[in-house]
Amino acid sequence: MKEQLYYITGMHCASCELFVEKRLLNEPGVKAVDASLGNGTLRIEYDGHAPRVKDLNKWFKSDGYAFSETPQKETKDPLIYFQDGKGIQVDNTVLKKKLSTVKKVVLVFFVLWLVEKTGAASFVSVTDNSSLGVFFAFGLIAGVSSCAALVGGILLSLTKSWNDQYGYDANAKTKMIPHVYFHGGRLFAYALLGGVLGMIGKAIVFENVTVYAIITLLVSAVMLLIGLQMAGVHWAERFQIRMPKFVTRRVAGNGKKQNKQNKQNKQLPFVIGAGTILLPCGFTLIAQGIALTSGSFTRGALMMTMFVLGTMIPLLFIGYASVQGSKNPKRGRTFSFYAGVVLVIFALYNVNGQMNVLGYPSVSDVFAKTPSSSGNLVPAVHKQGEQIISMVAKGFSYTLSSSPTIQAGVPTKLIVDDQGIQGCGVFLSARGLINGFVDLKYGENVIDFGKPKKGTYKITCSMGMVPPVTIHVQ
Amino acid sequence: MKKITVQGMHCGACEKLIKMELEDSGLDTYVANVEISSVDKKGIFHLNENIGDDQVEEIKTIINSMEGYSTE
Repeated sequence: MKEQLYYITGMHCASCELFVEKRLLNEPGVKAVDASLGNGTLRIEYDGHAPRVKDLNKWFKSDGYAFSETPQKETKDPLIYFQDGKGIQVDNTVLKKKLSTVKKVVLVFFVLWLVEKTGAASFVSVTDNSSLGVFFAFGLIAGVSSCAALVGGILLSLTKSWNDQYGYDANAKTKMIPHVYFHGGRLFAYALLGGVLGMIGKAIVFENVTVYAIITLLVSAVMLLIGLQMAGVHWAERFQIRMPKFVTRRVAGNGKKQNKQNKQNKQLPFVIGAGTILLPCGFTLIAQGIALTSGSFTRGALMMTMFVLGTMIPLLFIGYASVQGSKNPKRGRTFSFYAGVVLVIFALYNVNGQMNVLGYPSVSDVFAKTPSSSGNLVPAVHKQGEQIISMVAKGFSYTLSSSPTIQAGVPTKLIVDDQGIQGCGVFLSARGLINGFVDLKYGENVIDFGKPKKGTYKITCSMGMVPPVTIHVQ
Repeated sequence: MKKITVQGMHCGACEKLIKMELEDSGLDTYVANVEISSVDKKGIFHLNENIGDDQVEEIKTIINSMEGYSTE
């Protein structure tokens, strides 16, 4: 058996791939076909003679596909072009389209910035003595703030495929079914974890910052891709996230498979919902931390249940809005664009945060408040052979009150004066200097850095959303 | 005229793909024409008058077993 590679243009969806494959399998000598929208290629395994490009173009002419033996480029209207006699020209139609898109994106940025500036988190704080109602309110705040960036983003990404699955005509009640399973999964997992934490009084999932960061980065990458696709970015559409081809190619004509598929459709949102427990949303970590100190399975489970019920309200609203948006095709496209932009911003926000957590350069560094003169800061104090770094944690920021530069190999302590830090700021991370996250308590917190090695480290919150403080160890 | 509404269809490739599946079972001859609404992601298969209820059900079963398509 021999193999021949062709290049193909004109395909725009998975159905095109399957149609081309199925059509070519009818040709004598063709043993296997693999059409790839992402790569723009067609691979044919055959006996005897390979189909000629001329024949392929003839067979698929009416379908709008074109074949060649070398890669082809699809052309599109350029914004700037050169015209003989007139020099460099700007296409006003293309310019208007691009400006309109930029305006919409700026609008979304502005709205999200305003929401963040409300500082909703500062209105609710919880302790192990708080009533269950306070946990509910805490969940409510979480659902409209930083947790919305993670869980809300995932929900928006999933809603796209769920809406596609049911079609525009399905009623809102039907389209909300996967959302109910998603939240059911969250409720189950959080209640169970809360109970287990309360019972065993030991956190087994809070220790590895890098694992959390990698999970969040992977989730954010998927969110980013889906966001770009929803916003209508053509090149992103090449990377389709879908069922493997061996599944889509399978055609079984019996009712049993249908039932199995329906079952899977319900199980998957449930499992994904339960899986959100692995995401390092600061509010969730706080609730988990407090459930840990409850010392009771029932109390821990109830704390987490109330917390999730609180988050569920804004998240259900996000889901319902996306379902309503999909009812009308025109409104659906507009909603899809805005939701896509929100998703891209959430994803980039999360990625930037995780860069902070991992201690790598990030956009936050550009906006970081750097002391106008290090001379104004109290230098690291050497007391009994130790050096001390001081920091104030308040609102949604950490402010260094000593020099950001310290010596390597000297026992070092960080003293954090918690004057009311909010949101994920309660869980401090400093990868390379400490393991895991430190749960800050109101007042003075002493954190042992051991003997730090040379390098640059970042102190931020568990989600990396608190503007990072950079420590230089020399 | 009998018809089947199919959710998930959005383009000509979807139509051809489904027709090819029906062709494998010899049911494509019952399809008179297909309307597709790409914005609604929906297609309507208009069937010939001579088609029996069993064959309509058979067509529905084939379409429902294909990934991404479902009949109403």
